[in-house]
Amino acid sequence: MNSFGVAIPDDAAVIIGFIVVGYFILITAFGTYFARFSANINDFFYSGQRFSWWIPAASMVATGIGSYSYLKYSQQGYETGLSSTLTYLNDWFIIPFFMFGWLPIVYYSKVKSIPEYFERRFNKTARYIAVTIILAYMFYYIGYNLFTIGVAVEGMFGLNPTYTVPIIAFILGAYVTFGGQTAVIFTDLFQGIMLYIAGFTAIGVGLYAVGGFSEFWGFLPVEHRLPFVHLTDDPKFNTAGLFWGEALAGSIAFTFMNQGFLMRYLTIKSMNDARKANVFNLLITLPLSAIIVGAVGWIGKALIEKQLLMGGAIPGYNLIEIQDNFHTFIVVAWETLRQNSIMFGFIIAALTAALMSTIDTLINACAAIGIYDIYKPLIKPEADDKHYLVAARWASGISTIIGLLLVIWFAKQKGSLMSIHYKGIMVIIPAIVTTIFLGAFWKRFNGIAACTSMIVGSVVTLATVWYPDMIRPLSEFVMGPTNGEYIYFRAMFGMTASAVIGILVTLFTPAPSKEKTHGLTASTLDVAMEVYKGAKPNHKIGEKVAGLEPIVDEALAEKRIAISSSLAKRLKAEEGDIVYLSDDRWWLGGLRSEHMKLAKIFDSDEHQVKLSEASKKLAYLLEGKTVFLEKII
Amino acid sequence: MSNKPLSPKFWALVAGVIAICYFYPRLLVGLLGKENPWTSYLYMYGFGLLTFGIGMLVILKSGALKPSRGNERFWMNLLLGGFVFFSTLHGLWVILAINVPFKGVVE
Repeated sequence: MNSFGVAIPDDAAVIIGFIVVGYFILITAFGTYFARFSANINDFFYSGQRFSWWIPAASMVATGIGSYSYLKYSQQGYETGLSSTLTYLNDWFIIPFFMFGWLPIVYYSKVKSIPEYFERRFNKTARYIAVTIILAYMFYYIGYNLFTIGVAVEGMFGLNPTYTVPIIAFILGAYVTFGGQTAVIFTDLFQGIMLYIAGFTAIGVGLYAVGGFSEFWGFLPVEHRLPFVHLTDDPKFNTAGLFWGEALAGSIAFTFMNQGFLMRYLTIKSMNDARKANVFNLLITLPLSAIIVGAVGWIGKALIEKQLLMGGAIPGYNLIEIQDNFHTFIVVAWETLRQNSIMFGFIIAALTAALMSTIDTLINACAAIGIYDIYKPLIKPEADDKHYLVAARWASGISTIIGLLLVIWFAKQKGSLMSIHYKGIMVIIPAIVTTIFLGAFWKRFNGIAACTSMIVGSVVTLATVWYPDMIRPLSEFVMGPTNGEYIYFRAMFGMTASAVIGILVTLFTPAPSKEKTHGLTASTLDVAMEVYKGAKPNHKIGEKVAGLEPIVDEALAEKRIAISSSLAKRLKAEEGDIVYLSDDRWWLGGLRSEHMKLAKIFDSDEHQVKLSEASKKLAYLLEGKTVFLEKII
Repeated sequence: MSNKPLSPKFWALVAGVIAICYFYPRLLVGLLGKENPWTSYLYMYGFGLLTFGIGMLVILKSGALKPSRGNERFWMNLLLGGFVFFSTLHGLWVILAINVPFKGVVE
């Protein structure tokens, strides 16, 4: 079998194939197990907002490493070196806007989707323009990812995508449809761990082959060691473009309008934990991800340089030749593993699984929009939770099928995969991202301006596909590349145009009413917190108290608890506060937990917590297991 | 539903940002040249600081971040620390890259 630049013997290919299929079966079984934790629609899409920060944070590893990341970034790493990490390490600039603006707005206002925010903040028209744009963005992503899975599997195993893509889509659809968000999070968590093991294995054997870290660094050309590329030289990869197009437009788009990622944050038990997840993602997950997806390319470059100096292969290894840079990861991993088919099979399994872990999030997010923005408000407004749960599963299935149909369109497109991807995404995102931004941070921004900005902004951005020179003045202004290929500047141009349109329309139209801004903008977060709690927030910082044995008291209503005064003192909790009750075992990450209203504080020197049997069931608590309690707000 | 004009301070800030966007990269390239690895670093972190600074200003002025509320002072310090961390990391990385000799074949 000759795949991706390496000749794999047939018996080794069979072993690799078995490992990959086994891995896929394992993932599907693992994901569908979590169907039992989706008792209602809130569980299905938001896992009951019960998780500790580390579960969604760790699961974001696999979500963030999507189709082709290993292949694409290893190629980039081989061609330009450590600057391949740049797209993973430039998100901090916009983080104040997200962590203290958009994230708390979405979290405390309890919106279920970005379009729902648009209706509450602007009007119904804005909501459905947003639905159209966001669904276009997400279906584009699902179709693209499924398409690239087909290309990758064909490249590695020679299998026809006509058969492999529907099978993989069926596997994905199965566990997302039955397990919902909890299944997505736990499979992504598992796959994230596998990705790290596979990635670091490939890096470890690569470093060993080159002779250790100092040899690797020494044989890496200086320009390959740098974290940045030339300011403007390469139209496809330059620092100026990467700042405006990736660090700003791309990062804002990914963090602000990716419904899948936002939903991940909405599964977390508190705002404080959501911020922890956000910081962990930026400081730990993304840098590590940048290394595991790109490092084999850097090592490949050092190996080639060392071979050049030695005048042949490194002792103990075959001569490494990379004919097509896109094959860097496969060639380097296969040769540095000394053609060990079991190890290589595991790496390929984890790699192909990485392809799945981005789409599952998107399918779940599309289904959420389908239910909360289309089915519930427009088709069946009054139905019980059971009905919506069934509808949500149908919506997941339909989203998978639409994504699958889009693969046919992608297969007909010309040009590189990267150019297809960027061309679509950079046209779709700018107008809506700008509208979210202005809506969240500028109280004066109104519904008319939002609709105009989204429609006209999208049209102007789309026009640049035929008239790219429209972008040139903006690129020149900030000394970006002016060579006619504005891969990164298109989004920045679209955002600037949408912002100018939005601001101008706002200045000439009436300001929105108070109800359109209260709790929905950065400057009204106090109101948002009060609405979230249903009373004045309690910001006192208390302790987390563990080792509690819950006492059943049927006098208490569902989701209500009573605690002793001594316990309240340690928690710094008052009657009416929202508290979080969870199984004591930290490694469950909140899988068995629930938010409760503190209904009563009774006098006692002992630490006691009382709740009804129904509340215990809601929290999935097990008999005989101790719990911990934490005041949330 | 008031329709007050935006304050002169706001317009001054906008004008300042536009001026920086125009003059800063020209100053940088004029002083260091486009080929210098520090040009890319300073371009990224100069504009990055501008973006980050505006972000901090917006969340502090709007009250979205109140250092006296709960543990938000911790988060504010973490935000600032994160910026210092990434800028230092990339700075040290450039130094390490240019100061270790290349062992391979120099063409």
